[in-house]
Amino acid sequence: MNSKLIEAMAELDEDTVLDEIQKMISSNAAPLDIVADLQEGMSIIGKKFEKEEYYLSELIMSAEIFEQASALLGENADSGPSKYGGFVLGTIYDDIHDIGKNIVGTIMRSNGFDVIDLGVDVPTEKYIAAIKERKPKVIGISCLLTTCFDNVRQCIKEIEDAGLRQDVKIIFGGGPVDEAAGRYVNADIVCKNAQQTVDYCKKIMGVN
Amino acid sequence: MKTNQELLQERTERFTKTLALEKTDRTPIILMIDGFCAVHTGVKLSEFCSSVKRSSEVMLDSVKQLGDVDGVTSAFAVGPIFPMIFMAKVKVPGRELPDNMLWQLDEAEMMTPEDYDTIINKGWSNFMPSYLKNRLGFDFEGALEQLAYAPQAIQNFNDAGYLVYSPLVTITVNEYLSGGRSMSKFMRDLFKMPDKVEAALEVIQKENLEQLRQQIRAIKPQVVFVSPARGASEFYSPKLWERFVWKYIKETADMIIEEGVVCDIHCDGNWERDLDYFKAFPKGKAVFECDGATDIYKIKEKLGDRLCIKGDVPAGLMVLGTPDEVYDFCTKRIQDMGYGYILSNGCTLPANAKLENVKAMIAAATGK
Ligand code: B12
Repeated sequence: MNSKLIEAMAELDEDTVLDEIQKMISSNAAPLDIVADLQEGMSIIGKKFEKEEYYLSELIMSAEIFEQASALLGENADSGPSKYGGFVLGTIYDDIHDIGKNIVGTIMRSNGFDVIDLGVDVPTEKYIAAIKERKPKVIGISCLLTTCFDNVRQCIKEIEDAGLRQDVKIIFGGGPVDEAAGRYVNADIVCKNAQQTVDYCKKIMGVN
Repeated sequence: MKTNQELLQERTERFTKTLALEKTDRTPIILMIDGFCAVHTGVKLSEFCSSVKRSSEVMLDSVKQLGDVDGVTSAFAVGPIFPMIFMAKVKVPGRELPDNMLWQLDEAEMMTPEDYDTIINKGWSNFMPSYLKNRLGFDFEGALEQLAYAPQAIQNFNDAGYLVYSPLVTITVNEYLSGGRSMSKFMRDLFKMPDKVEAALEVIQKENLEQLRQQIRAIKPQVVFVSPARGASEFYSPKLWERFVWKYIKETADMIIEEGVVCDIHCDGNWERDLDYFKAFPKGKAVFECDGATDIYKIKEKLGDRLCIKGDVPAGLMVLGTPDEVYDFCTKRIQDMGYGYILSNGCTLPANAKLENVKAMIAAATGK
C-alpha cells in the first residue's frame, strides 16, 4: 500500500499520482496493487462527494486522473480477475454525452467492477459483441437525449432478438431518464446516479 | 378579429408586465422551438438547417399552425451555427448526418492549452475566426452572411403577431473554452492551470462585453439571452463556480441591465445551491430560465419577488407524457407561480415532442 499515492489520488494531485505510479512501476510493483491504491483513493473521493466536500468538478477531475493513470499502467491495469465481474457501459448511438457515463464508469471501477467502456455513439452491434465476448452480468446504457430513447428501445430489442437478453440485466441512466423512460425502453432498472448503480450491481452480482 | 399588429401589441404588453412581475390577464407562453417545427410541418431537417432564412420560415409556419402563443425564444434555428457559440464542431443533417436527424454538437478536444497563451497574447478576436475556419473547418464568413437575415426573421414573426423573446444571444465566456477544450479537459485545466484559464477568460470577457454593448445599442432588444450553458452549480465546487462561472454571469448581466435591458439567464441543470447569488439583481431586471432540473418552487421561494421565471416544462414530459399530463403540469405551474412567470419549455422543445402535447401546453396558458 502506497499511502502517498492514495492520498494524492484523493487530493486530485495529478502530478504526484503519476510520479508515484512511475516510481512503483520502476520498482516492479504489481499493477494490481497500484490499481488497488488508486481505488482506495477513489473511494475517499466518493465519500467526500457524499459529504459535499467534493462536487462534480472533482469527480470529473478524478475520472481524468484515473484515466491517465490507467494509461500508464496500460494492459496491466485490467489483467487480473476483477472483484465482481464485468460491467459493459456505453452511450447509445446518436448521443455523445459522456460526462455522466464516465462518472458512473469511474465510480464502478473504483468499487472493484471490471468496467468495459464502449464509449459514446455506440451502435447495437457493439453492445452485442461485448455481451458475447465479455459475458457481463450487467450492461449500462446512458442516454441524455429524449430523441434517442427509441434507439435504446431498439437496441434492447435487438439484444433480445439475438437471444442474449436473459443473460444480462440492463441498467438505463442519464439526465432525462425516469421510470417511465425505463419502462418505455424495456430496461430492467433505472439508476439516477453512480451510487445507485454500484448498489444495484452489487446486489445482482451477489456482493454485500 | 384582431389584426396581427393588435395581437403583437397585446402580447408585448402581457410580456412586458410579466418581466416586471406585474399583474396580467393571463400567463404568457413563449415556445423555445427549432427542430420540432420541421417535424411538425413535414420539412426535412436537412432542408431546415440549410440556412437561417429557411429555418426561420419553417418555424414561423409551424408557430402559425400552433396558434395562440405569445412568441418564440429565437426566430431561427441556432444549431447549425453552434460552432460560433461552443467552439466545437457540429454535425448537420444532410451533411454529416442523414437528412432527418437532429444536428449534433460534436464536442472534442479541439483547443489546446497553448491556445490559452495565444488568446492572452493576441486577443480573442484575433484567435477565434481563424480557429473556427482552420481548426473546425467552419464557414465563418458564410455564417455571418446568413445571420444578416436575423433582423428580417424577427420582423417576420412580429408582422405575424408574435414576439421574439431574445433577439440577442450571448454565452458566458467560460463556455467558449469549455466547448473548445471539451468539458472534461476544461475542468482539468481549472485544477491544473487556473490562473492561465482566468487570464484567457479576462481577455475574452473584455472584448465580448464591449461587442455586446454595441450590439445592444444597435438592436435595442427587450431581453438579452445569456447562456451559461454548462454553468450549473451541480457541475462545480462553490469555489470554482464563483470564480469561473458566476463572475462572468454577473458582469455580463450587470452590463446588460446597465444598458436598460432585461437579462435572461438560461439556467440548464441544477442551480439550487447557488440561488441566493441571484438576489444581486434588481427587481424585474433579470429572468431565471430553468429546464426542470432546478426545483422551480425553490426558485420561486428565493427569487420570486425579484426575478421573472421562465421555462421548466421538462423535455421528457413533452415526448413521453400524455396531453392530460402536460396540461395538468402546465396548469399547476401557472397557478403556483402566479405573476412573473412565463410558461416555456425547459431549454428547447425536443424535435420528437408530440404535437398534442404542445397543443396541451398552449391550452393551459390560453385557457382554450
Ligand atoms: C453537458 C451537456 C452537453 C455537452 C456534452 C459534453 C459531454 N462530453 O458529455 C454538449 C455540449 C456536447 C451537449 C450536446 C448536446 N446536447 Co446536451 N446537455 C448537457 C447538459 C448541460 C449536462 C449533461 C451532463 O453532463 N450532466 C452531468 C452528468 C454527471 O449528469 P448525467 O449525465 O445526468 O449523469 C448522471 C446520471 O444521469 C447517471 N447516469 C448517466 N448515465 C448513466 C448510465 C447508466 C448506465 C447509469 C446507471 C446511470 C447514468 O449517473 C450520472 C452521475 O450521477 C444537459 C442538461 C441536463 N440538465 O442534463 C444537456 C442536455 C442533455 N443536452 C441536450 C441537447 C438537446 C443537446 C444537443 C442535441 C444540442 C444540439 N442540438 O446539438 C447536443 C447533442 C449532441 C449529441 N449527439 O449527443 C438536452 C436534451 C433534451 C432532450 N430533448 O432530450 C439537455 C437536457 C439540455 C436541455 N435541457 O435541453 N450537451
